[in-house]
Amino acid sequence: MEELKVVGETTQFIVIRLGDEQYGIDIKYIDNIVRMQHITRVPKVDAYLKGVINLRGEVIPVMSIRIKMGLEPDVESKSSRIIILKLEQQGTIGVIVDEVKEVVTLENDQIEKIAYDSKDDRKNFLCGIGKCDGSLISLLDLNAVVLENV
Amino acid sequence: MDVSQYLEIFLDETNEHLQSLNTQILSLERDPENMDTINEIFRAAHSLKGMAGTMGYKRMQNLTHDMENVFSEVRNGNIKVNAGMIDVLFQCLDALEEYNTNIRESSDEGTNDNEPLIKQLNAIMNGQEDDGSAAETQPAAQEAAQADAAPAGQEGGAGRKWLAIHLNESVQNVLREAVRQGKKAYGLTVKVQESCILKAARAFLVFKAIEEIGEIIVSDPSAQDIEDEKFDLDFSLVVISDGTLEQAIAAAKGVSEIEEVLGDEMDVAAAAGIQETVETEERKDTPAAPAASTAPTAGAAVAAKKPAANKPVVNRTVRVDIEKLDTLMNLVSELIIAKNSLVSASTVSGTSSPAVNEQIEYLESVTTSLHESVMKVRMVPIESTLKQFPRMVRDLQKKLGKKMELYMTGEETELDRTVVDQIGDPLMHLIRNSADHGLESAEVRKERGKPEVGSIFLDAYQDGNNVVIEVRDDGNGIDTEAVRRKAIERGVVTPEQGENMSEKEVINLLFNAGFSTAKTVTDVSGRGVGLDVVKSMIESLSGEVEVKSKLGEGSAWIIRLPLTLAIIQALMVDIGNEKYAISLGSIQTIEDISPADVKLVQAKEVIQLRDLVIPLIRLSEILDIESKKNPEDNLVVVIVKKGDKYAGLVVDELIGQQEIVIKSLGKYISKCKIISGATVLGDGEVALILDANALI
Repeated sequence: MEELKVVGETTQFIVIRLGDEQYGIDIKYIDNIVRMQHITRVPKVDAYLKGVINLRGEVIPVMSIRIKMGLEPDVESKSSRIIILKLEQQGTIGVIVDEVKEVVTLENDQIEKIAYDSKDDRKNFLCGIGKCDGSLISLLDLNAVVLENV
Repeated sequence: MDVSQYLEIFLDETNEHLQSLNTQILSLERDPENMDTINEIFRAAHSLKGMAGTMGYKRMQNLTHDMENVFSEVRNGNIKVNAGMIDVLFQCLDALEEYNTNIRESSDEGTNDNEPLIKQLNAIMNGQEDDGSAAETQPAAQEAAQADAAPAGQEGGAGRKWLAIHLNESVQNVLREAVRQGKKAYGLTVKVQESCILKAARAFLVFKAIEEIGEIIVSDPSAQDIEDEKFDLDFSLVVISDGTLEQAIAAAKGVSEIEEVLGDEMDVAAAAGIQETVETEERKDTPAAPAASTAPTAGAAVAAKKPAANKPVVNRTVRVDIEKLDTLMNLVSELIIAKNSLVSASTVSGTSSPAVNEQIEYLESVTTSLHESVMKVRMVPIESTLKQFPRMVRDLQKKLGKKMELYMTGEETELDRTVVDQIGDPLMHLIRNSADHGLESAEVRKERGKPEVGSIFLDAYQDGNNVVIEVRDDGNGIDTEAVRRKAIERGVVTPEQGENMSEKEVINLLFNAGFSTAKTVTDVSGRGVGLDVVKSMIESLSGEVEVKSKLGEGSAWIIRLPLTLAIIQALMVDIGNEKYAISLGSIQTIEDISPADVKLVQAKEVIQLRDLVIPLIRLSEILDIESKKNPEDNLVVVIVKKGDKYAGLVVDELIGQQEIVIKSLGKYISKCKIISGATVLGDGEVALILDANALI
C-alpha cells in the first residue's frame, strides 16, 4: 500500500487471470515471465508451494496463488505462465497464473484502496482495486501473497 | 616446532621489513639526527632478528642482532650516524636480502656468515671506526662478501656456467679425440627467459638445434634432469662440432624464449686444469655437499653447486579476492552441469560412437580435476580462525577465576574458505561454554581429585569427506537431570515427556532456543542464546553437531563439516516418478534385501546386516510418493551412516553415481528438513538432494 503512495502519478501493472477474475501485479516486482514447465515437487511443504523449477541454472521455488488464496487448484493449460517475482525479503519466487493478459498503466486516482477485513481472507491479499476501461482489476499485495503461512 | 608452514609469511614480512629499513636508512642519511627514524629502524631490525631466530636462521639472526646493537647505541646517543656507517648498513641490508633469496630458493639461509660486515658493525659499536679506515675496509669487505655470497658457479665470469661442468676422464678423452679430428669443442650456457613456461620443451628444442650441427657431450644439469625441468633458468652444454662457435650460438638462439646464449671455444688441454680449480673451489665453498662432486654419474657428473637447481621451496603467492574465486567456482559448476547435459544428450540421441564416449570421459576427468583444483584453491588452514582462542581462554581464566588451559591440535586442517570464516563464532561459543559451564572451579576440582587446572581440548581433523572439530573439556559434564528439570520447568517439554526422554534426547534439548542451565547469568555465557545459535550456524554450513557427555568427567562437542559446499558426488535414485540425490559421503553400502528379511521391532521395520540391526526408512512414505515397486520384489536399500547410527533407505531403483552441483532451495522453502538442496540435472530438470542426516 505504501508503495502506491510513493510511486507518484502512475503505476504499471501486469494484468493476469486467475479463474474468472483479473488481478494486477505491480510491474516493478516482475523479473520474468516463463512458460509452464515441469515443476519438481518438494515434499513436506505447504500445499501452495508447488515445487521448484530450473530457471537458467538457478533453482527457483514456485507457488500457486490459487491455493494460497483458497481458490480451486490450478488447471494447467496452454496459456498458463509462471511469473518470476523478485522480492526484497523472500528473494526470487515464481507464481503460477492462468493467463497473462496485458500491461496497464493506472493513475493513482484510478486506484481505490480497500479496507482491511479480517473476515474476508481473499481481500487480505489485495492492496487495492484498479479501475480501467470499465473493468475492475484486483491489485495483489504481493508481500501478503508470498508471506509464509505461520 | 615445525616452522615450514610459516616460511611464506616469514619471507613476505622480511621483505617488508627490508624495504622499510631501506627507506628509513635512506632518510637517516639525509637527516642523521631524526630520532623517529632511528627508532623505526631499531624496531624493524629487532623484529627481523626475532623472526629469523624463531625460524632458526642463525646467521641472519646474528647479523640483525649486531645491527640492532648499533642502533641501540645510536638511540642512546652514544655514537653518531655518519656516512661510513650508512654504507655499512646498506651492505648489511644487501646481505640480508641475499639470505632471504637463499631461503626462498632452498629454505636454507646459506653458509655466508658475513663476518666482515659483523666486524665492521662491532667496530662502529666500539667507536673505532673513522671515515678513513671505513673507506679502506669497505671495498675489501664488499669483495669478500661477494666472493662468499656468490657460491654460484660464476668464477669464469658473467654467467659462463659451462666452465663449472665436471668433465670426467672419458669425456676429456672424447674431447681430445674430437680435437684431433679437427673438430672444435665449445662450452655453451643457455639462459631461458624468466617468463618461459615450458622450460623443458625449450631446452629440448635447443638440444635438437645444436645436435643438427654437432654433438652434445655433456650437459649440466643432466639431460634427464633438464627433461624433468629440474633446472633453474639456465643450463650448460659442452658441444663438439665442425661448425663455428657463432653457428652453435645462433642455433641455440634460434629457439624462441631463449634469453641469451653465452659460449666460448673450449681449450681442451686446459679443461682438465679448470676442472681442478673448480673442484678445489667447490671444496672451499660448499663443504656441506662434497657428495655431489665425488659421486660422478656417468657422463654427466654435474657439479650442481647452486642449490637453486632444486625447485624453489616456496612458491610465489598471489592474493585473490574471494569473490573472484566464487565466480570461478560458479563457472566450474556451470561447466559440470553442461558436461552432465552432454552425457545425457549423447545417451539419448544414441550417438554412442566410441570416439564420442572417449571424449566425454576425457571431459569428465578434466572437469573433475578442475573442480578439485578450484576447491583446493579455496581451502585454507583452519588455523587463522583458531589462533584467537588461546588469548580468549587466557582472558576467560581471569574473568571466571578458574584455572584452565587450551590444547589445540590439527590447526593445519584445511577447509573451504567460507566455512573457515564462519566457524569461528560457533567454536567460540563452545569454548566459552566449556569454560563457563563445563569446568569446575579449582577448589571443586581438587575435591574431586582432578588436576586443579582444567583442560579444554580443540582437535580438528579430516575424516573422509568431512572435517571434524571437537571441543572437549574435562569438567563436570552435562547434568542430564538438571537439564530435564529445567526443560520441564520452562515448559519446553511436559513432565511426562521429560520422564520418558533418553539421556541423548535430554542433551539435545540444550540446542533449543532460550535454554540455559547456568545457575547464574554471566557475561561469558548463560544468556541462553548460545547453543541454538551454534547449531543453526553449523547447519547453515551443511554441518552437524553432536554432544557426548559423562557426568563428572566432561563433555565433548563434535562438529562435522563437509569439505566442500558446492559440488558433491551423489547417488541418484528413483522413487516413484521422482529423482532424488543422496550424498555419496553418507552412504555406506547398498543392499538387496528380500522382503522376508524385514523384521518388525516395536512396530518399526528393521533389517539385520552383519550383526547390526538397522531401521528401515521407506522413502516413498516419507516423501509421500507412490512406490512403483511390487511389494514382493526385493528391496533396494541404501545404508547411510550418521555418526555411529545407521539407517536403511528404501528406494525404487538406483540410477547411478553423478557429480552434482548443490543449489539452495532458497529461504522460501526452508521448512523441509529432509531436503538439503537441489541440483540441476543434465536434462535441465531439478532433482532434490536428500539429507540423510536429517532422516536418521
